[in-house]
Amino acid sequence: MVGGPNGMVEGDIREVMRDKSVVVDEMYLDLLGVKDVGQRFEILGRRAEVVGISEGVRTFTASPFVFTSIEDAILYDKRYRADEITYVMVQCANDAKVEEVADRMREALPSVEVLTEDEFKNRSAKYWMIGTGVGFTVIVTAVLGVIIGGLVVSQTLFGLLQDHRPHFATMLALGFRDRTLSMIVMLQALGFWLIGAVGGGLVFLGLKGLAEDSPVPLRMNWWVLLLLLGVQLITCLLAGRWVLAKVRKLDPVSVFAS
Amino acid sequence: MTDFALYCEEIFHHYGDGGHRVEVLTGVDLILAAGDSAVLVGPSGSGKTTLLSIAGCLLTPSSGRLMLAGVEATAGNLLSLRREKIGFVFQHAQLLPFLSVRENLEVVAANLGVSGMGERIDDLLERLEMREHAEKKAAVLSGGQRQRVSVARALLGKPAVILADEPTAALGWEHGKVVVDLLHDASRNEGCALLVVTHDERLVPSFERKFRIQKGSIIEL
Repeated sequence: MVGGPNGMVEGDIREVMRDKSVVVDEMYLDLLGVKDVGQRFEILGRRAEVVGISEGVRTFTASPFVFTSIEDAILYDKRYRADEITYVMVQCANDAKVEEVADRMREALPSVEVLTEDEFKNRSAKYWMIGTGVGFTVIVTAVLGVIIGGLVVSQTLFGLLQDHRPHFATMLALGFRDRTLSMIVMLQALGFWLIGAVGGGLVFLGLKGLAEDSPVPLRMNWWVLLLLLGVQLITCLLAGRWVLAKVRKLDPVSVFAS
Repeated sequence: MTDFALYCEEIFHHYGDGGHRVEVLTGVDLILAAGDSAVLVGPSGSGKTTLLSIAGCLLTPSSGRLMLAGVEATAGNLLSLRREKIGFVFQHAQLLPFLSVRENLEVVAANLGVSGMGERIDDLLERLEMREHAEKKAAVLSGGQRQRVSVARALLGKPAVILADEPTAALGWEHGKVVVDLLHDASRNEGCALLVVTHDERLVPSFERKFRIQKGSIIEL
């Protein structure tokens, strides 16, 4: 047996080798009208029996996935002839090198496109990120988020500067060193970064919990997290630099008028 | 002249140019020795604040010579002169409201770059009767208490000259008189020159030296 779900909630995936038996994912039980293992229902007019329930098999663009044997799959989907297939999943023997096997298959089957697991993953990612509008939307949203975040931080810092304009003018009048003023402003900017990182992290964790059982669960890995924190930090520091430039332009003589 | 705390010679200053040029100071000479306490009075718009700004190295005069404790003011050392030679007392104390009294002084001490200022802060707070309020936030102090702290802030770096701009204007007469007395005491005890700008003619008699500024010129009364 090659392929299958990541995990099973109930039943054994090997049961699909039985005639007209399928495994469905727990997320799509309601959609398929399935309640329990052993239940019978129809797929495109043909009888199917639920022999197991899987977990973690999600799709946000297509109909729910159903696992069955290749023979039954051809029977259920009338678009294909019995000798016609689109994808074939191949599992190498334990001691075989995947790249070598793939090369040999490419030589033996020149009209067939052979992809390793990593190549297939990259192909899929490229398709969704570049070949569809999803990637563009994600990138535009992220860029907008950075721009809006930068504006929020800079405007908040600028608001603080406006509120404390007499105090900054006093510090300039008292001869505060530039590094002291820089430290005051940049510490505030770092404070905003920290608040943003912690606040954003909590919001993400909340949304992640809510989306856990949805077709589009939220995921985060370390390099994405570090990238986000880095972008946030740079945004806050740039906003701090902008406000610091405003502070340096304050006229210390204004302290006499305030 | 290197012995003088404040030495202003032939200070001219104008705002604007061409048809909009306004002469504010026309050859002002003002010399204060260490320990002098001086008051500067004059009508609104006579140039008091401009002269104070120039003496305080906040504004560069159109022409003239300025020295503080023997150090010539140049474009490159105005900031350090402000920090090291001058103590400012403003009309409103302008303390950082979210810091305590002690922290307000510690921030200034840190900026001075001098270590071991803790004793100096304690001493000043004691002398200005603010020791018991040291840990209070500046925001909760009365106007008079804030001015006491601003006097302490001005004295912290042992300046050569204290420049006070209307230090009593935001206070009632009684509190204002107390603040001026504190400035006199500080000037005597610390051996620094004191120059106070005020509208309040009632305060004038308490100063040893009295100046009036009018039409850009200064006369000693």
